Amino acid sequence: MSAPHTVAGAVAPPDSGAKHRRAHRGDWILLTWCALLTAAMLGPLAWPGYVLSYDMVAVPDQALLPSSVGLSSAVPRAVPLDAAVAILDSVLTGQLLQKLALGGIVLGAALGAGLALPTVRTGTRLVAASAYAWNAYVFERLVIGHWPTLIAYAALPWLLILGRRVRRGRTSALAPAVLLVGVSALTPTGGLLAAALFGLLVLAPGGRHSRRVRVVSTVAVLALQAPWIVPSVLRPDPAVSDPAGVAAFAAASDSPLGLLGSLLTLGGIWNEGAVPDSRALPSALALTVVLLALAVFGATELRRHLGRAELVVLTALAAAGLVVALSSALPGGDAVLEWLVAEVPGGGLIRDGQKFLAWYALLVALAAAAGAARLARAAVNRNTAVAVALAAALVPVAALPDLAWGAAGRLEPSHYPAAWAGVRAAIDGGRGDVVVLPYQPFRRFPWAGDRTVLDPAPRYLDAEVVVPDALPVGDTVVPGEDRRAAEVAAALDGDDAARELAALGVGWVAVERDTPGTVPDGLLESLESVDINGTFDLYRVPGDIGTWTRIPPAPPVIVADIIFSVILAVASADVARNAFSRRRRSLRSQES
Amino acid sequence: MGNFGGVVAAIVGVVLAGLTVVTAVNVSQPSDADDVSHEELINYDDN
Repeated sequence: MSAPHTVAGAVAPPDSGAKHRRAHRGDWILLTWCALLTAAMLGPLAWPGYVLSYDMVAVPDQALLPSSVGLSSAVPRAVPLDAAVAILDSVLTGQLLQKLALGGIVLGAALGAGLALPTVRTGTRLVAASAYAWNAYVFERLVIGHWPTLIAYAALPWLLILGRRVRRGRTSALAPAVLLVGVSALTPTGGLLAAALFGLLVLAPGGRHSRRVRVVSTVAVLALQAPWIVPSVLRPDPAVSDPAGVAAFAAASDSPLGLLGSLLTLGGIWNEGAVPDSRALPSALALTVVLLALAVFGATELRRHLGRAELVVLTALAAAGLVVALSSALPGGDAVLEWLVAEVPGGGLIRDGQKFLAWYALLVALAAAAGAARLARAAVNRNTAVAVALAAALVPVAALPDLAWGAAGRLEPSHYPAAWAGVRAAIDGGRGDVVVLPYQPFRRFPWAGDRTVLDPAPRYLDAEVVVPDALPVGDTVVPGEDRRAAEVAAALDGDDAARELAALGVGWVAVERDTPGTVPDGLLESLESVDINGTFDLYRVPGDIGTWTRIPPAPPVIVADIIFSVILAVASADVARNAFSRRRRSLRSQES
Repeated sequence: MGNFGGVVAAIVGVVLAGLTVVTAVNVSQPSDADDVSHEELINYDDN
């Protein structure tokens, strides 16, 4: 936070010492504002427990398993995220890791956006911070549990700043940018969001950076995607998805503004259960439209604050994200998407296109800040300018009050029943994998507020779990990509389920008793009881247990993970070295 | 901005404050979103 700026409306004093002090004060005001936004949004996370909401699952101690790096029959959607979480929660505990990650996302997004406009005053920075961290996109992605996507979302403004510095020839900005792309690439969507922005910034014509920097950046950004690309490409079954997912996960109108209006105001997620109630309120929409109008008012001003390449890249990505999100509603869009999803390996990434609004969200936030700066300039005096900036900074919060306090209670922490720890301890992972019943992906536990949540057991247990990946959405079930999961489903419907499960490499069956769903008739009677507690029962499958071998080959996957780790280690060392050098120079200048 | 600008700013401020209060009051009302489905198959888009 070293860029020179002053509090909204203030006139910069002539002496540099006073100017520096004002800039320092501005930094603290911005940081305090961002911390307040974070506390207001995530306050309930101060209580002990794990936030469980749709795809957001946290467990006490996730095990590092072959599937954590994509060595399983499932499509590697959370790779290498699962490996990173398994390693980090050994040090931090799963509970602390989740809270630090969510807090870091909101604080990082707000602070990054606040710092992304280099030439504006502090009041205007607050507008960018609020508009970027407090909007429908953040609400919907938090509630649906796509926090890894939000890691990339939080990284985007920082990548814009670092890309700007790299283009100005400051090679020291390269390492932190690579680090941020790497952290974003813990999931495929995050990797795409971050790599596209930074990659295009570095590759765009112009700039004072060398050709070598362009090449190194591009190679690093691409290589960081290897941990999820390699297992996807090398899995025995093609990484293509069922076209039914296109319609099921298409962006949807979540407000009276229609689909386009919902997307332009950063909403429009396909899952109506993740939509904030305020999206239906005319008063809230009016406030959202005020913010959008401020962004339109400031759009022409952005050229004054951003470099040409930055503006072109960000605008192009924002437009592309909007088109992808809208695509199923465009003429022929469905057909193109269905072809991509069904025929192109990895094409399934493009369904749920609303997530690609992240770039547009950054553009809107910066344009709204520029609009506020333009309004403040027209103010008659300093106090009015400050009032305009503060009012504009509060509009995003006023438009979406239900994002406060853990999305109005949807992100309240929960506690696992004691029986779960007993089952984890009782399973010997060397004796086959686990199937958890009811055999469906989602759960609704009374101890987790009866909210819909992805079954936490696959991450909670210290063994490989065959996860059903056919997704019930509305009146349809979107078929999954995991052949083994489908064969287990067929086995559970068969006459001799225990024997068929054993042949599929399943050595254990666990039954969650406190969630809706059915258990196949007669199955449990053919199994050996291990831990029957009425909450989370465990059974052993009798007989010889087979091995499932249709998984990606291990050597190339491990090489991809080593490359990823080495790049991050080198980038981290460079960041540390640069920070140490800066500190030493600062101390020397103080001594002299 | 002058007097006219000040009057406009005041009106805009009052309107924004009014919208804020109306939104906050409406959001704090309980909604039927908390109704829990008792279907055996839990949908991805269930509340």
